[in-house]
Amino acid sequence: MPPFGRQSRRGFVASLAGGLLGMLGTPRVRPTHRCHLSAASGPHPDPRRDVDASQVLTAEQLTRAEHVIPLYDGIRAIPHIADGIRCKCGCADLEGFRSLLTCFESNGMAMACQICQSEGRMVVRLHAAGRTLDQIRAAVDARFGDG
Amino acid sequence: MPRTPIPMALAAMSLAITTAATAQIRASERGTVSQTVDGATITIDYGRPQLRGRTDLWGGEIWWGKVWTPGANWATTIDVSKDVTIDGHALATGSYSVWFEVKQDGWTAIFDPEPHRFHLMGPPPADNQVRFPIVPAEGPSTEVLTWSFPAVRPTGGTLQFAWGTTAVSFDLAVPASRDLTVTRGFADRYVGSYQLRPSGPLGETEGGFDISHANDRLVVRWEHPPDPNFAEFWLIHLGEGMFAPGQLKDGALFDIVTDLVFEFTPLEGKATGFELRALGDALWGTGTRAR
Repeated sequence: MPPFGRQSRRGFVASLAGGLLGMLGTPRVRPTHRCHLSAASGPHPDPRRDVDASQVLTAEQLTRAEHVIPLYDGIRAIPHIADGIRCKCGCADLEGFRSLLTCFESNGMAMACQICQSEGRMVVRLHAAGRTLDQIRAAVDARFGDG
Repeated sequence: MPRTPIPMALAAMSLAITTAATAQIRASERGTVSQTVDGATITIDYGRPQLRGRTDLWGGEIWWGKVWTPGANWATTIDVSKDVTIDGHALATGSYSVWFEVKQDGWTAIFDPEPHRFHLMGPPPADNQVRFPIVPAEGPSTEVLTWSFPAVRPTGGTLQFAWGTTAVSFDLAVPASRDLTVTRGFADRYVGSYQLRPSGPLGETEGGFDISHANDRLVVRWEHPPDPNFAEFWLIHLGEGMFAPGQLKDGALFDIVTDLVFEFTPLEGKATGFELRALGDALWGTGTRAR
Protein backbone atom coordinates (compact mmCIF):
# COMPACT_ATOMS: atom_id res chain seq x y z
CA MET A 1 0.00 0.00 0.00
CA PRO A 2 1.60 3.28 -1.07
CA PRO A 3 1.96 5.88 1.70
CA PHE A 4 -1.20 7.86 2.40
CA GLY A 5 -3.24 5.20 0.69
CA ARG A 6 -3.85 6.66 -2.72
CA GLN A 7 -0.78 7.35 -4.76
CA SER A 8 2.78 6.15 -4.96
CA ARG A 9 5.52 8.58 -5.89
CA ARG A 10 5.47 7.32 -9.44
CA GLY A 11 1.72 7.69 -9.53
CA PHE A 12 2.06 11.30 -8.39
CA VAL A 13 4.52 12.04 -11.19
CA ALA A 14 2.19 10.61 -13.77
CA SER A 15 -0.93 12.19 -12.36
CA LEU A 16 0.75 15.57 -11.90
CA ALA A 17 1.59 15.79 -15.57
CA GLY A 18 -1.64 14.27 -16.81
CA GLY A 19 -3.71 16.19 -14.32
CA LEU A 20 -2.05 19.46 -15.24
CA LEU A 21 -4.38 19.46 -18.16
CA GLY A 22 -7.43 18.13 -16.41
CA MET A 23 -7.72 15.48 -19.07
CA LEU A 24 -8.71 12.01 -18.15
CA GLY A 25 -7.19 9.27 -20.15
CA THR A 26 -4.13 11.29 -21.13
CA PRO A 27 -1.36 8.87 -22.01
CA ARG A 28 1.06 8.66 -19.11
CA VAL A 29 4.72 8.27 -19.82
CA ARG A 30 6.35 5.85 -17.44
CA PRO A 31 10.01 6.33 -16.59
CA THR A 32 12.11 3.91 -18.57
CA HIS A 33 15.22 2.07 -17.48
CA ARG A 34 17.52 3.93 -15.13
CA CYS A 35 21.00 2.98 -14.10
CA HIS A 36 21.01 1.66 -10.59
CA LEU A 37 24.43 3.07 -9.82
CA SER A 38 24.09 5.78 -7.21
CA ALA A 39 25.29 9.21 -8.24
CA ALA A 40 28.90 9.57 -7.19
CA SER A 41 30.34 12.72 -5.74
CA GLY A 42 33.22 14.59 -7.29
CA PRO A 43 34.12 17.65 -9.32
CA HIS A 44 33.53 18.11 -13.00
CA PRO A 45 36.68 17.22 -14.97
CA ASP A 46 38.56 19.75 -17.03
CA PRO A 47 38.05 19.07 -20.73
CA ARG A 48 41.15 17.61 -22.33
CA ARG A 49 42.89 20.07 -24.60
CA ASP A 50 43.09 17.66 -27.54
CA VAL A 51 39.73 15.98 -27.02
CA ASP A 52 37.68 15.08 -30.05
CA ALA A 53 34.62 13.02 -30.88
CA SER A 54 36.40 10.28 -32.76
CA GLN A 55 35.42 7.64 -30.18
CA VAL A 56 31.74 8.59 -29.97
CA LEU A 57 29.61 5.76 -31.32
CA THR A 58 28.28 6.26 -34.83
CA ALA A 59 24.83 5.56 -36.19
CA GLU A 60 26.13 2.33 -37.69
CA GLN A 61 27.17 1.21 -34.21
CA LEU A 62 23.81 2.13 -32.69
CA THR A 63 21.57 -0.20 -34.65
CA ARG A 64 20.26 -1.66 -31.38
CA ALA A 65 19.45 1.79 -30.00
CA GLU A 66 18.39 3.90 -32.95
CA HIS A 67 16.32 6.21 -30.74
CA VAL A 68 19.51 7.68 -29.24
CA ILE A 69 21.26 8.43 -32.55
CA PRO A 70 20.20 12.13 -32.46
CA LEU A 71 21.55 12.41 -28.93
CA TYR A 72 24.86 10.83 -29.90
CA ASP A 73 25.03 13.27 -32.85
CA GLY A 74 24.46 16.13 -30.43
CA ILE A 75 27.26 14.98 -28.14
CA ARG A 76 29.50 14.38 -31.13
CA ALA A 77 29.22 18.08 -31.99
CA ILE A 78 30.37 19.26 -28.54
CA PRO A 79 33.15 16.98 -27.26
CA HIS A 80 34.92 19.92 -25.60
CA ILE A 81 31.80 20.54 -23.50
CA ALA A 82 30.83 16.93 -22.77
CA ASP A 83 34.40 16.17 -21.68
CA GLY A 84 34.08 18.86 -19.01
CA ILE A 85 30.96 17.39 -17.40
CA ARG A 86 30.90 14.67 -14.75
CA CYS A 87 28.34 11.97 -15.43
CA LYS A 88 25.96 11.68 -12.49
CA CYS A 89 25.00 8.04 -12.94
CA GLY A 90 27.99 6.88 -10.92
CA CYS A 91 30.05 5.56 -13.78
CA ALA A 92 32.68 8.23 -13.17
CA ASP A 93 34.05 6.03 -10.40
CA LEU A 94 34.56 3.15 -12.83
CA GLU A 95 37.87 2.64 -14.57
CA GLY A 96 37.85 4.04 -18.08
CA PHE A 97 35.05 6.55 -17.47
CA ARG A 98 36.32 10.11 -17.32
CA SER A 99 33.46 12.38 -18.28
CA LEU A 100 30.01 12.49 -19.86
CA LEU A 101 31.78 12.21 -23.21
CA THR A 102 33.18 8.78 -22.35
CA CYS A 103 29.65 7.51 -21.66
CA PHE A 104 28.95 8.02 -25.36
CA GLU A 105 32.10 6.29 -26.54
CA SER A 106 32.87 2.67 -27.23
CA ASN A 107 31.77 1.32 -23.84
CA GLY A 108 28.14 1.85 -24.79
CA MET A 109 27.09 3.13 -21.35
CA ALA A 110 24.75 5.81 -22.70
CA MET A 111 22.94 3.37 -25.01
CA ALA A 112 20.85 2.14 -22.09
CA CYS A 113 21.52 4.43 -19.12
CA GLN A 114 18.63 6.84 -18.60
CA ILE A 115 20.76 9.18 -16.51
CA CYS A 116 23.51 9.42 -19.13
CA GLN A 117 20.84 10.13 -21.75
CA SER A 118 18.96 12.68 -19.61
CA GLU A 119 22.15 14.49 -18.73
CA GLY A 120 23.39 14.35 -22.31
CA ARG A 121 20.18 15.81 -23.71
CA MET A 122 20.24 18.57 -21.14
CA VAL A 123 23.86 19.44 -21.92
CA VAL A 124 23.20 19.52 -25.67
CA ARG A 125 20.10 21.66 -25.15
CA LEU A 126 21.74 24.17 -22.84
CA HIS A 127 24.78 24.52 -25.08
CA ALA A 128 22.50 25.23 -28.03
CA ALA A 129 20.82 27.90 -25.88
CA GLY A 130 24.14 29.67 -25.45
CA ARG A 131 25.05 28.58 -21.92
CA THR A 132 28.72 28.48 -20.96
CA LEU A 133 30.43 25.36 -19.64
CA ASP A 134 30.29 26.69 -16.08
CA GLN A 135 26.59 27.46 -16.44
CA ILE A 136 25.91 24.01 -17.86
CA ARG A 137 27.86 22.40 -15.00
CA ALA A 138 25.78 24.34 -12.47
CA ALA A 139 22.57 23.29 -14.17
CA VAL A 140 23.65 19.65 -14.23
CA ASP A 141 24.51 19.84 -10.52
CA ALA A 142 21.12 21.38 -9.77
CA ARG A 143 19.20 18.84 -11.84
CA PHE A 144 21.10 15.68 -10.97
CA GLY A 145 22.68 16.54 -7.64
CA ASP A 146 26.11 17.84 -6.76
CA GLY A 147 26.89 15.38 -3.98
CA MET B 1 34.98 -54.47 6.71
CA PRO B 2 37.72 -53.40 4.41
CA ARG B 3 40.12 -50.89 5.87
CA THR B 4 40.04 -47.41 4.30
CA PRO B 5 43.48 -46.42 3.10
CA ILE B 6 44.93 -43.71 5.38
CA PRO B 7 45.34 -41.05 2.66
CA MET B 8 41.71 -41.42 1.63
CA ALA B 9 40.61 -41.19 5.27
CA LEU B 10 42.60 -38.01 5.78
CA ALA B 11 41.13 -36.53 2.60
CA ALA B 12 37.64 -37.39 3.77
CA MET B 13 38.29 -35.80 7.16
CA SER B 14 39.65 -32.58 5.65
CA LEU B 15 36.66 -32.36 3.35
CA ALA B 16 34.35 -32.76 6.31
CA ILE B 17 36.19 -30.10 8.29
CA THR B 18 36.18 -27.72 5.32
CA THR B 19 32.50 -28.34 4.72
CA ALA B 20 31.68 -27.72 8.38
CA ALA B 21 33.66 -24.45 8.42
CA THR B 22 31.92 -22.99 5.37
CA ALA B 23 28.36 -24.12 6.11
CA GLN B 24 27.77 -23.44 9.78
CA ILE B 25 24.45 -23.22 11.52
CA ARG B 26 24.84 -20.56 14.21
CA ALA B 27 22.75 -20.16 17.34
CA SER B 28 22.76 -16.42 16.65
CA GLU B 29 22.82 -15.74 12.94
CA ARG B 30 23.98 -12.35 11.75
CA GLY B 31 21.46 -9.79 10.52
CA THR B 32 21.52 -6.30 9.06
CA VAL B 33 18.92 -3.56 8.84
CA SER B 34 19.39 -0.26 7.10
CA GLN B 35 17.32 2.87 6.62
CA THR B 36 17.94 5.96 4.53
CA VAL B 37 16.32 9.24 5.47
CA ASP B 38 16.89 12.32 3.33
CA GLY B 39 20.22 10.99 2.12
CA ALA B 40 21.52 9.83 5.51
CA THR B 41 21.88 6.04 5.84
CA ILE B 42 21.79 4.34 9.23
CA THR B 43 22.82 0.67 9.31
CA ILE B 44 22.67 -1.79 12.20
CA ASP B 45 24.68 -5.01 11.94
CA TYR B 46 24.09 -7.50 14.72
CA GLY B 47 23.91 -11.08 15.91
CA ARG B 48 20.38 -12.37 16.45
CA PRO B 49 20.05 -14.62 19.48
CA GLN B 50 16.76 -16.37 20.17
CA LEU B 51 14.96 -16.84 23.48
CA ARG B 52 14.64 -20.62 23.12
CA GLY B 53 12.55 -20.74 26.28
CA ARG B 54 14.65 -18.36 28.37
CA THR B 55 12.66 -16.06 30.64
CA ASP B 56 15.32 -14.65 32.94
CA LEU B 57 17.14 -12.26 30.64
CA TRP B 58 17.47 -9.13 32.76
CA GLY B 59 19.20 -9.68 36.06
CA GLY B 60 19.62 -13.31 35.19
CA GLU B 61 21.51 -14.29 32.10
CA ILE B 62 22.38 -10.63 31.58
CA TRP B 63 23.35 -9.76 35.10
CA TRP B 64 22.77 -6.36 36.63
CA GLY B 65 25.64 -4.03 35.93
CA LYS B 66 26.73 -5.83 32.80
CA VAL B 67 27.82 -3.86 29.75
CA TRP B 68 26.04 -5.98 27.16
CA THR B 69 25.90 -5.69 23.41
CA PRO B 70 22.29 -5.88 22.20
CA GLY B 71 23.08 -8.73 19.87
CA ALA B 72 25.48 -11.63 20.02
CA ASN B 73 29.07 -12.68 19.34
CA TRP B 74 30.72 -9.67 17.64
CA ALA B 75 29.23 -6.49 19.02
CA THR B 76 26.26 -4.85 17.40
CA THR B 77 27.40 -1.95 15.27
CA ILE B 78 25.70 1.18 14.01
CA ASP B 79 27.02 3.01 10.98
CA VAL B 80 25.79 6.51 10.16
CA SER B 81 26.68 8.08 6.83
CA LYS B 82 26.02 11.62 8.05
CA ASP B 83 26.06 13.37 11.42
CA VAL B 84 22.76 12.53 13.13
CA THR B 85 21.28 12.83 16.58
CA ILE B 86 19.99 9.90 18.57
CA ASP B 87 17.65 10.76 21.42
CA GLY B 88 18.97 14.29 21.01
CA HIS B 89 22.62 13.29 21.36
CA ALA B 90 25.02 14.00 18.53
CA LEU B 91 26.40 10.96 16.75
CA ALA B 92 29.05 11.92 14.22
CA THR B 93 29.46 10.18 10.88
CA GLY B 94 31.14 6.81 11.33
CA SER B 95 30.78 3.35 12.85
CA TYR B 96 30.27 2.48 16.48
CA SER B 97 29.79 -0.61 18.62
CA VAL B 98 26.54 -0.50 20.56
CA TRP B 99 26.17 -1.49 24.22
CA PHE B 100 23.58 -1.34 26.97
CA GLU B 101 24.73 -1.01 30.56
CA VAL B 102 21.95 -2.90 32.27
CA LYS B 103 21.22 -1.92 35.88
CA GLN B 104 18.23 -2.38 38.11
CA ASP B 105 17.93 1.37 38.64
CA GLY B 106 18.31 2.31 35.03
CA TRP B 107 19.89 1.47 31.71
CA THR B 108 22.49 3.38 29.73
CA ALA B 109 23.05 3.26 25.97
CA ILE B 110 26.72 3.38 24.93
CA PHE B 111 28.01 4.08 21.42
CA ASP B 112 31.74 3.34 21.39
CA PRO B 113 33.90 4.54 18.47
CA GLU B 114 35.63 1.16 18.20
CA PRO B 115 33.16 -0.92 16.18
CA HIS B 116 35.08 -4.18 16.19
CA ARG B 117 34.64 -5.59 19.69
CA PHE B 118 33.64 -9.07 20.82
CA HIS B 119 30.65 -9.36 23.12
CA LEU B 120 32.88 -10.27 26.07
CA MET B 121 34.86 -7.03 25.64
CA GLY B 122 32.43 -4.37 26.79
CA PRO B 123 34.28 -1.07 26.65
CA PRO B 124 35.14 0.82 29.83
CA PRO B 125 33.78 4.38 30.12
CA ALA B 126 35.63 6.80 27.86
CA ASP B 127 35.27 10.44 26.92
CA ASN B 128 34.87 9.67 23.23
CA GLN B 129 31.77 7.56 23.77
CA VAL B 130 28.19 8.75 23.39
CA ARG B 131 26.34 7.70 26.55
CA PHE B 132 22.85 8.52 27.72
CA PRO B 133 20.10 6.96 29.82
CA ILE B 134 17.45 4.85 28.15
CA VAL B 135 14.17 3.46 29.40
CA PRO B 136 13.26 -0.12 28.47
CA ALA B 137 9.57 -0.65 27.83
CA GLU B 138 7.30 -3.67 27.99
CA GLY B 139 5.97 -4.93 24.68
CA PRO B 140 4.80 -8.03 22.85
CA SER B 141 7.23 -10.92 23.04
CA THR B 142 9.92 -11.05 20.37
CA GLU B 143 11.56 -14.46 20.01
CA VAL B 144 14.51 -13.33 17.91
CA LEU B 145 16.42 -10.21 18.97
CA THR B 146 15.45 -7.58 16.43
CA TRP B 147 16.58 -4.11 15.46
CA SER B 148 14.16 -2.21 13.25
CA PHE B 149 12.99 1.19 12.05
CA PRO B 150 9.26 1.14 12.78
CA ALA B 151 8.79 4.83 11.96
CA VAL B 152 10.30 6.92 9.19
CA ARG B 153 9.67 10.58 8.46
CA PRO B 154 11.40 13.19 6.26
CA THR B 155 13.49 14.45 9.21
CA GLY B 156 14.35 11.18 10.93
CA GLY B 157 12.63 8.20 12.45
CA THR B 158 12.55 5.63 15.22
CA LEU B 159 15.20 2.98 15.77
CA GLN B 160 14.02 0.15 17.97
CA PHE B 161 15.57 -2.79 19.80
CA ALA B 162 13.33 -5.64 20.91
CA TRP B 163 13.98 -8.98 22.59
CA GLY B 164 11.66 -10.95 24.79
CA THR B 165 9.08 -8.54 26.13
CA THR B 166 11.54 -5.64 26.30
CA ALA B 167 11.86 -2.88 23.76
CA VAL B 168 14.02 0.23 23.64
CA SER B 169 13.19 2.97 21.16
CA PHE B 170 15.52 5.70 19.98
CA ASP B 171 14.49 8.89 18.22
CA LEU B 172 16.69 9.58 15.22
CA ALA B 173 17.02 13.00 13.62
CA VAL B 174 18.93 13.68 10.41
CA PRO B 175 20.04 17.03 9.02
CA ALA B 176 17.99 18.40 6.15
CA SER B 177 19.79 17.81 2.86
CA ARG B 178 18.60 21.10 1.45
CA ASP B 179 17.10 24.35 2.64
CA LEU B 180 13.43 24.24 1.74
CA THR B 181 12.82 27.90 2.57
CA VAL B 182 12.91 30.81 0.15
CA THR B 183 13.07 34.47 1.06
CA ARG B 184 10.47 36.96 -0.10
CA GLY B 185 13.02 38.69 -2.32
CA PHE B 186 13.92 35.42 -4.01
CA ALA B 187 10.30 34.34 -4.33
CA ASP B 188 9.25 37.59 -6.02
CA ARG B 189 11.02 36.42 -9.18
CA TYR B 190 8.56 33.56 -9.52
CA VAL B 191 5.37 34.66 -7.79
CA GLY B 192 2.49 35.18 -10.21
CA SER B 193 0.02 33.43 -12.46
CA TYR B 194 1.12 31.12 -15.22
CA GLN B 195 -0.48 29.28 -18.09
CA LEU B 196 0.82 25.86 -19.03
CA ARG B 197 0.78 24.53 -22.58
CA PRO B 198 1.44 20.80 -22.61
CA SER B 199 3.56 19.01 -25.18
CA GLY B 200 4.44 15.49 -26.18
CA PRO B 201 2.24 12.83 -24.59
CA LEU B 202 0.19 15.21 -22.47
CA GLY B 203 -2.39 16.24 -25.05
CA GLU B 204 -3.44 19.78 -25.83
CA THR B 205 -5.54 21.13 -22.95
CA GLU B 206 -3.94 24.08 -21.22
CA GLY B 207 -4.11 24.81 -17.52
CA GLY B 208 -3.43 27.74 -15.22
CA PHE B 209 -1.91 27.95 -11.76
CA ASP B 210 -0.68 30.52 -9.28
CA ILE B 211 2.65 30.61 -7.51
CA SER B 212 2.63 32.40 -4.16
CA HIS B 213 5.03 32.88 -1.28
CA ALA B 214 3.72 31.62 2.06
CA ASN B 215 5.55 30.55 5.22
CA ASP B 216 8.89 30.89 3.42
CA ARG B 217 7.79 28.46 0.74
CA LEU B 218 6.91 28.76 -2.93
CA VAL B 219 3.42 27.30 -3.19
CA VAL B 220 1.66 26.24 -6.39
CA ARG B 221 -2.13 26.16 -6.48
CA TRP B 222 -4.24 25.26 -9.49
CA GLU B 223 -7.20 27.35 -10.58
CA HIS B 224 -9.16 24.18 -11.17
CA PRO B 225 -7.29 21.26 -9.61
CA PRO B 226 -7.78 18.25 -11.85
CA ASP B 227 -6.65 15.93 -9.08
CA PRO B 228 -6.91 16.68 -5.35
CA ASN B 229 -3.56 14.98 -4.70
CA PHE B 230 -1.68 17.82 -6.32
CA ALA B 231 -4.11 20.69 -5.89
CA GLU B 232 -1.31 22.33 -3.95
CA PHE B 233 2.40 21.56 -3.89
CA TRP B 234 5.66 23.30 -3.06
CA LEU B 235 8.38 24.27 -5.49
CA ILE B 236 11.67 22.98 -4.08
CA HIS B 237 14.62 25.00 -5.33
CA LEU B 238 17.30 22.84 -6.93
CA GLY B 239 19.40 25.69 -8.26
CA GLU B 240 19.84 27.60 -11.50
CA GLY B 241 16.15 28.45 -11.85
CA MET B 242 15.14 24.80 -11.44
CA PHE B 243 12.49 23.55 -9.06
CA ALA B 244 11.12 20.10 -8.27
CA PRO B 245 7.55 19.57 -7.03
CA GLY B 246 7.28 18.82 -3.34
CA GLN B 247 4.29 16.62 -2.64
CA LEU B 248 2.27 17.42 0.46
CA LYS B 249 0.08 15.50 2.81
CA ASP B 250 -1.90 17.48 5.39
CA GLY B 251 0.31 20.44 4.65
CA ALA B 252 3.55 18.57 5.36
CA LEU B 253 6.16 17.65 2.77
CA PHE B 254 6.66 13.92 2.26
CA ASP B 255 8.25 13.59 -1.18
CA ILE B 256 10.37 15.66 -3.53
CA VAL B 257 9.61 14.50 -7.04
CA THR B 258 12.88 15.02 -8.88
CA ASP B 259 11.59 13.12 -11.91
CA LEU B 260 9.86 16.40 -12.88
CA VAL B 261 11.62 19.75 -12.98
CA PHE B 262 10.34 23.25 -13.65
CA GLU B 263 13.07 25.22 -15.43
CA PHE B 264 12.26 28.93 -15.19
CA THR B 265 13.70 31.53 -17.56
CA PRO B 266 15.45 33.85 -17.62
CA LEU B 267 18.04 33.12 -14.93
CA GLU B 268 18.15 36.76 -13.84
CA GLY B 269 15.25 39.06 -13.11
CA LYS B 270 11.58 38.16 -13.10
CA ALA B 271 10.69 34.77 -14.56
CA THR B 272 8.68 35.04 -17.73
CA GLY B 273 8.04 31.37 -18.20
CA PHE B 274 9.25 27.86 -17.69
CA GLU B 275 9.74 24.47 -19.27
CA LEU B 276 8.48 21.35 -17.54
CA ARG B 277 11.08 18.64 -18.04
CA ALA B 278 10.78 14.95 -17.18
CA LEU B 279 13.05 11.93 -17.31
CA GLY B 280 15.24 11.85 -20.38
CA ASP B 281 15.03 15.65 -20.42
CA ALA B 282 11.70 15.22 -22.22
CA LEU B 283 9.64 18.38 -22.58
CA TRP B 284 6.22 17.88 -21.00
CA GLY B 285 5.04 21.45 -21.14
CA THR B 286 5.85 25.10 -21.57
CA GLY B 287 4.55 27.78 -19.25
CA THR B 288 4.24 31.51 -19.70
CA ARG B 289 3.56 34.16 -17.11
CA ALA B 290 0.02 35.50 -17.36
CA ARG B 291 0.53 38.24 -14.75
